[in-house]
Amino acid sequence: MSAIIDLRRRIQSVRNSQQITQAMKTVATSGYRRAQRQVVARRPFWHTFPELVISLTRELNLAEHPYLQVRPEKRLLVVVITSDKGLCGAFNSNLLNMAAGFLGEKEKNSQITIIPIGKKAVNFSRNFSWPVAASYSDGVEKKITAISQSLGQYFDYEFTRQNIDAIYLLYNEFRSVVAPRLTVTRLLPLAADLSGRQVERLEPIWEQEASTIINYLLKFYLKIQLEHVLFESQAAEQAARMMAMENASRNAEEIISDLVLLLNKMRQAAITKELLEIQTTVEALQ
Amino acid sequence: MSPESSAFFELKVIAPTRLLTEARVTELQVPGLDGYLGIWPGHRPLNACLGQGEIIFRTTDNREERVMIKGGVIKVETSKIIIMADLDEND
Repeated sequence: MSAIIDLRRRIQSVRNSQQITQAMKTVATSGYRRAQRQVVARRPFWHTFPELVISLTRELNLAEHPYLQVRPEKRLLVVVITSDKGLCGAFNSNLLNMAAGFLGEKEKNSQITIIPIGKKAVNFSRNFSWPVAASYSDGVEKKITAISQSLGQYFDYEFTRQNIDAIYLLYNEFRSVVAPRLTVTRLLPLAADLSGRQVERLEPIWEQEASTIINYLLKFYLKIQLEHVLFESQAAEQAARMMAMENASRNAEEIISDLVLLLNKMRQAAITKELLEIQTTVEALQ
Repeated sequence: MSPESSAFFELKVIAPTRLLTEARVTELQVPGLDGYLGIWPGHRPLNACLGQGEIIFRTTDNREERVMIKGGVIKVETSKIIIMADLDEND
């Protein structure tokens, strides 16, 4: 009897967990929809902006702009972006594994400073001895614009004064619901390909000094790129959580059906046993 | 207007948070830093900074539309125009 009671309790506890995972899935789904809307609405800008910058720099041959200066990578700034919360499958652990590999490789020849964004990345940075220039956690998704703004200014300052030689971003790019893509991007120096200078049929008119226009655009460049990456990572996180919770709910369903089957078998065995006992007793009495 | 140039431009106005407009336009006025610029099909390639004001354009089906911007950059190419617009909005 006690075995059956135990089984009933286990089934109940699995049901409770399933309720929680299902509720979390619903929350993640709505979060994912919102994040995806933001990403999709902003994509035209993100895609056109670098194109425009590159095509303008090409027309100009702006190789002397500070953002295009490629120096030996002696001092690196690496931004690692994860989520604040867990329960999203391998989302964070995959990224942090990649980060550990990447940083371990770069460490051999350069001095590394990191900027962790998201609680998991902050915890990660505590395990190592690299200096941390700034860290952001708790409610990153609500502060994306502000973070991008301040980091953009900081990057501009440090890079143009040659305090750092390159800036890398490590993040999960949102590709599809199924799997985020681990991405390493070099934010600065810009990878503008100046070799194939485009020759327009007509030399364009520059209403203002060319450098004025480029500077105007580049002022936004860092902020826009950071915003892009943070929004992508957020959408990927919500998608990963949605999938993880979906899988958890499905697993719980499987466990429940296995346990119920076992319970029924045991219950029936007990009934059969009791019937047998009654039968034996009756026959013994006759 | 030279004969080979088409009678309209592909206009794209893009703001950081969203695509504002994508249309075929037959004429366009944009707020340059030193006053409005008028652009018709067949215009020479042009790069310019924009100030605060309204982008006014007429689409191929002869509707006039207006978009408010805070600033931006316009790039005019042979058959298309891209405007990266800065808006006065908090997201």
